[in-house]
Amino acid sequence: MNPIVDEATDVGYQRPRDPVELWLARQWQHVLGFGVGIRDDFFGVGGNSLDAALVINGVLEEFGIQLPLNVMTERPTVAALAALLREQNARVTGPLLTIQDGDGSKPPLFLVHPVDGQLGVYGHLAQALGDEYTLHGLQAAGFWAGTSPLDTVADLARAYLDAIRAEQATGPYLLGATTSAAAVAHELAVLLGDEVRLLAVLDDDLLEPAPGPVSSDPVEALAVWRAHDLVPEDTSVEAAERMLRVRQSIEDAVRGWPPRPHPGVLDLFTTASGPSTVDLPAAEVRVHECAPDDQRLAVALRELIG
Amino acid sequence: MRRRIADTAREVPGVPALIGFDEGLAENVLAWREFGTAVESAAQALRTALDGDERPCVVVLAANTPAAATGIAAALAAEVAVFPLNPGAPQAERDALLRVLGRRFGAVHLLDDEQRPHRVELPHSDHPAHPDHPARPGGDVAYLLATGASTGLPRISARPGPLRYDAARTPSLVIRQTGWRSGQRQLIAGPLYHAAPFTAFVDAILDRNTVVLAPFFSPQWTVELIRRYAVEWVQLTPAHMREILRGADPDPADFASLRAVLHTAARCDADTKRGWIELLGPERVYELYGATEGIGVTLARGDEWLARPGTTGRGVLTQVRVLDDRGAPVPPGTVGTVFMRTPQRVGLADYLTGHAVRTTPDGFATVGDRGRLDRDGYLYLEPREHDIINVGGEKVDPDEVEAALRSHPAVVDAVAMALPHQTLGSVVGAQVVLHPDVTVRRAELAAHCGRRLAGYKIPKQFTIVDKIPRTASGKTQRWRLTPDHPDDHPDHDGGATRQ
Repeated sequence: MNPIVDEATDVGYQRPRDPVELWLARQWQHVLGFGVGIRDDFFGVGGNSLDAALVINGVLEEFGIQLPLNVMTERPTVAALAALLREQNARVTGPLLTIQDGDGSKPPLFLVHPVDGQLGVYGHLAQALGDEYTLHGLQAAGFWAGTSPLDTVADLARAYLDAIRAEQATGPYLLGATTSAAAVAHELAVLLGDEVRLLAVLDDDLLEPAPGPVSSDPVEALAVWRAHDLVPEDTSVEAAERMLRVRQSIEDAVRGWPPRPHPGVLDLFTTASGPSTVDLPAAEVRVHECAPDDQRLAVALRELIG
Repeated sequence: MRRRIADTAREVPGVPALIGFDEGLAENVLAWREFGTAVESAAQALRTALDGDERPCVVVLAANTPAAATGIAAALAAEVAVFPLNPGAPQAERDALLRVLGRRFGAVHLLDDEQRPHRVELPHSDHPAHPDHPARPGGDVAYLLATGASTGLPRISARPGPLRYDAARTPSLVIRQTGWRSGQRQLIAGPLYHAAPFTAFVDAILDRNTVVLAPFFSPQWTVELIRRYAVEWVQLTPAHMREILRGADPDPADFASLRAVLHTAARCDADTKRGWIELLGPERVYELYGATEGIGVTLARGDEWLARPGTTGRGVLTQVRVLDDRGAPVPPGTVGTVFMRTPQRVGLADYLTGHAVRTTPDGFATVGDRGRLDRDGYLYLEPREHDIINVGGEKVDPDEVEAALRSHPAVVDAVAMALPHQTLGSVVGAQVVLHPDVTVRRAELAAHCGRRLAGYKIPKQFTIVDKIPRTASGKTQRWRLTPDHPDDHPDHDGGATRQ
């Protein structure tokens, strides 16, 4: 009785697809007070002209780009505004990018990118954990013209260690990664030693199912990514080529890496069909079985973060 | 009152007067014979005990129990002023109310469960009597009611007595127009210490009705009680109505016996209103606007409301005028202060607490509500001034925001309130109760509001809570939720605060 029908159903959370969208989504979160997807309408979720001015000012400070004052009415979504910023050569270089600002009540989580080197999938994790959690991400190098990826786990871990120390000088540290590049987080944990309070490894599929094997041909790969809304519409073949190069270098780095034992606990979050072990030595491995889209991952992780 | 109860007990001795429930929810039926005897002996005992007291007043801890109901009836029969007190009132509030009574009455007694009075020792007050309210000349007080719960300031208004049964006036004509019938079975769903349930109870006793007294409100149980006892008449608050729609999944057949639902107390959101009109048909849903002070009433039946959504109806034996700040009438459609005048007024309902009812020289009175009339004399109320949220000069009605939030499938309940904001003065904040095991993005709640409301009305902050504090009549006490100090909510980058 009295059914409630939403005339325009929620588009649902849509995660950022590139570093510019990631940065912009977090800027919006900062201004609006809650996390947004890349297709949420700025004014439709309560942003006003003062808020818009704050976004424009943030863009000026970060990128040195002065946007027209009415830009938010013209481009009221993260996706649309990010496209404009990319047109104006905005670059978001890492390695450390904040995915979500929490309220300061929880210790921050440092998340190493998956095998593609990007951080967008962690948008799902931020949504699941809630607004009070702070999530920093470590993004791979090599996405912009004239930059090149790092190609050993040692180099990646060293670069990320410096970035983490710059953000937070001393432990305890809470680290996380997905299985596809868990070796980097594992090596980071070994380097940080007893300052590590959490090393969480998440099955990639728990955050977002992969659309199948990635073609080594940039045109083919780009077509698949576009079809699954994994890259911005304006992504060029050259950019796709660089993305493949980053992915290849991370795959190579992880494949050739001989892991050293981690003296602490490793918390493995996996699906029922996923691997119940991981090829990373630790003093103790705890397995948490979850399913995509259920609350168990967030519930267990919240408990571990404390 | 005493005579009327005695007559009823003699004439319809076997008819149930009161159906109450004990702590285990076991049914406890008092037929008129027993109820009459209990009231008579308690009233006699009360008269004896209070004999010699100068201007006594009794306070009943008005839980919805047969004992409290009997105590109230006994005090009315004994013609001793009675005040139904919220048994759950915090000590400080209780003390404040008792002090107010102490200033006005020579002796204040608390009635126990056996209807025995115990004199309350009141702390000495610096204000022996309010200068504006010297000992009342003539006329006795039948009962006193606390009002103004939503403002946080306890007020007490007095109803002159004694109460008499008058076939033409019990209950008032306006209540009779809502399908009330003498001897009916009626459900008291709200607490007896609130005006509408209390007066419905008093009228029921005078009118030989059978009262089903629900000890607390639960959506499913309310439906069950109506069905089980074939209840004919019930007064509910919009919050009750909303919770029943949401929580009890009622079937029209459950309400086959009902002649009318009357709702009062707070404005009813349109979804809830339509839901009930759908359930009962427009002829069985009534909305009454009238302050506890009794300065007049308007009534809107469901079909009138459908024709003029949002109206609280037309005056019943009441003239309604909307005046501007200088006291001049405003044209239809223009908002001003709502004044009413009624010949039914039984005497000036006065405040013990010095709050004045503003009146005009020709006898129109207002409690300060704002509203407008349409050309046909239908009244539309504006939200009360203290509830309005001012967002950079734009006025936001929290009821509207709450209705938008509640229309989201994940949301059970919501309250909107002002939050301090550096630039805009205030912005809208919301506390939201979600269905169990449901999560929802704050952005989605905001977007949902954005599809229904202007941008400045969209809450800038959402806090997910387990429960919204409400009074038993379902009013939200927003003043309890709004932070007193802006410092409590530090401003991040001049933008929204978050929790």
